[in-house]
Amino acid sequence: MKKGFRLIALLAALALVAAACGDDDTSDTTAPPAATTTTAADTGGDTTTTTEEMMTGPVFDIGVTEEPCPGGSPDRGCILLGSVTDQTGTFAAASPGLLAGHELFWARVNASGGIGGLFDVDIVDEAIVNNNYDPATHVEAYQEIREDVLALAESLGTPQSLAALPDYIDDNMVAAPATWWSGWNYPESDAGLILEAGASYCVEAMNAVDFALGNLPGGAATVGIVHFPGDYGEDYLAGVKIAAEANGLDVVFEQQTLPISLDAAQTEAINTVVTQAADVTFLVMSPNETATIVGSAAAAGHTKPFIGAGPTWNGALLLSPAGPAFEAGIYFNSAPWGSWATDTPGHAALRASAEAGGAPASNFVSAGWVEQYPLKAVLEAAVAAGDITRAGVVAAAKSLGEVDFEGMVETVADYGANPIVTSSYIGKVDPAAPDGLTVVAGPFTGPTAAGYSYDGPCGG
Amino acid sequence: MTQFLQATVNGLSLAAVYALIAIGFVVIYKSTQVLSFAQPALVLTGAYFVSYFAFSLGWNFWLGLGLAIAIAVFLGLFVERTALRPMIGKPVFSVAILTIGLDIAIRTVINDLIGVDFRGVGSPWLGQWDWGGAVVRHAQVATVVITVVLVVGVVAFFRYSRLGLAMRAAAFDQEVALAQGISVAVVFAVAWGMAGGLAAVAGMLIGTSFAGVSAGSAFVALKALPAIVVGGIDSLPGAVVGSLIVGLAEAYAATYQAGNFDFLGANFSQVVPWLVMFIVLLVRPYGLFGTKEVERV
Repeated sequence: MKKGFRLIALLAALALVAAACGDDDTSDTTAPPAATTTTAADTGGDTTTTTEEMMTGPVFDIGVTEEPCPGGSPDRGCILLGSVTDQTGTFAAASPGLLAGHELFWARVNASGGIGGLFDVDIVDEAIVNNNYDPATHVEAYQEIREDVLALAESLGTPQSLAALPDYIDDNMVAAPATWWSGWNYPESDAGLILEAGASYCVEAMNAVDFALGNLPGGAATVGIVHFPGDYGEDYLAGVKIAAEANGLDVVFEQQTLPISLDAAQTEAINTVVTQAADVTFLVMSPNETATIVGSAAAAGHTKPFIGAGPTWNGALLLSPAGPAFEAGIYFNSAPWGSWATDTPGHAALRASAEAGGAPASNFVSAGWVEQYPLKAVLEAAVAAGDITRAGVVAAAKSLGEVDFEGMVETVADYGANPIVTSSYIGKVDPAAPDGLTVVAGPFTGPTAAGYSYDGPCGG
Repeated sequence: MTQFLQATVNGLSLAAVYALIAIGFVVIYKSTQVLSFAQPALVLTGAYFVSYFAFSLGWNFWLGLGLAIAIAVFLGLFVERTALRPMIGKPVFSVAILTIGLDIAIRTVINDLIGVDFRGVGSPWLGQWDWGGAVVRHAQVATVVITVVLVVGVVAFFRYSRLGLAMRAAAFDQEVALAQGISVAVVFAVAWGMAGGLAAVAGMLIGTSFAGVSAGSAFVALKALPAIVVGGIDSLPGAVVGSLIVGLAEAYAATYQAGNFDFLGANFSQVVPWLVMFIVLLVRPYGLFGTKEVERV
């Protein structure tokens, strides 16, 4: 009996091995002979029309299935996306919001007929992996999902994404970055695989300095900056220094600080801010450190303004012990797009989707949403070209024309050749706004960003 | 002088948080000979649930704190019973690695629950005093007072309660303790439960900061590691003294390094606890109050 069982087990194992090692031509590049497509008008609702057309569908291979997405239209195939995000590291708090933004975005796309009427898009749960904000972990995490998805809805962190870039190149993997490093604007840095959305940290910083010059009551003859180490802090720092030099401003301090959510851990930065007392201090960190530095500095009597990079703000900071300091009007926020209540079609769609989906009014949700526009445009272009293989997607990305951000970010006319966006926004604290911010300037391109020569990453 | 006073207040409140976490480390180590790397997860769990009850739901702060402590105690017991108990007799290294895995798993879940918004803990200590020019937040004073009360309570527990005596006996020699009718299983469970409760209070105290509760709150717990190594990994007084040394050294470095020792670079204060640990290890490998291990060869 035991022997028989072993024999059966052995035969079963051999069969499995044979199946796995067999001729897998059928799973290589596939072209559905005929596609039955359900096309819904963008406006959705009752105007949905169904057309059957005999056509040869686009060829596809990894990360695309003829079967529908879970909960998707039964008449459409499925494009599988992955996400290499940070669930346990420095930006772990941002990850749920970013993911919510992605899911809201693609749910709307799917509800509006999917990609080219042929495919829905699904971010596969098992392909959402954790990079712990660590480059080596990012590479390992990516390698777990590289055979399962067509593209990445998120690749979080610049050093992390750069570490995985050789693998992305090997795999023809395009990725929407949760990082606004200026290097993504240049194919020499990203091989044209990273699909950035909106102004880089550097451009955002240049515009923020130009805003400070003309709009802050005390002027901005001296500026200081407290920043995280790494791409986020240093790219923004580079932008501040470029604009300061262009305007003859004195940078009185550049204080690096670390992402540690304890008041005492920010003592060095707080002391620097209070004792150096620059006319305006730029903050490049996460909301938690922002609360600590603004709250502690205000408690120590500091009244000069702060301008924080986009990720420094979270509307719930108004509920923190630092809330009164924020409400006192000493904090402004620079961002690549407007705050939650901004009047653009994209913002309106985001608000409606978030309300329906129960997502919070958060700039991380906005970021997760906005960063999907170029990926959507690339997928649509690839489907239109009849090739949604990885190579086809890369070719579509490199020759992509216009990307319409529905007004959230200025439309990019020739994305494949020049994805640089030079306009950004400034918001001020408004407790009545859903995310606590109201736009006071933007979209605008300051003189520094307008005159800057974009020939490589700002930080060099 | 104002600067010195400010640094001292900052250092004491920092040391108080480290001390609560360090005591958890030591209690588990003394009872089970396991260095638990799951403490950050317990800290974050406590912080999150205080925030959930007292901030999100708006319940009474003390009720929220009590419930959060209960949940963290339960989590500690659960971890001990389901993951650690089966590992009795296995190499200490394997058990320590297991606690790292537990830490990552629990923190991933809690991080998801924390979400994207700011989370306070609804503490009543929102004001501040001006002590000779130094800004002293009510929360900092509350941190020190609560820690002192809990440390006294823990010491009294070990000294005067039957269970505390049993735990000391088990820590000294498990086989002899078993022979005396002490349930080592209960000792293990109480150690983990106690560490969970103390971690929850530490998490709440971390959450009283301007930054509130975030995924990063967990990392504060790692600073308790140099504190216990400095004090001696199996010494409760050592955990407190080590935390004081580490907390004050960190605060003084944060205040005085800039402008005096700029060549050390920014944020050198974050390295100071580990530097202190390194120096103490060179001089006293078992820490200031640790038990010297003697092995018969």
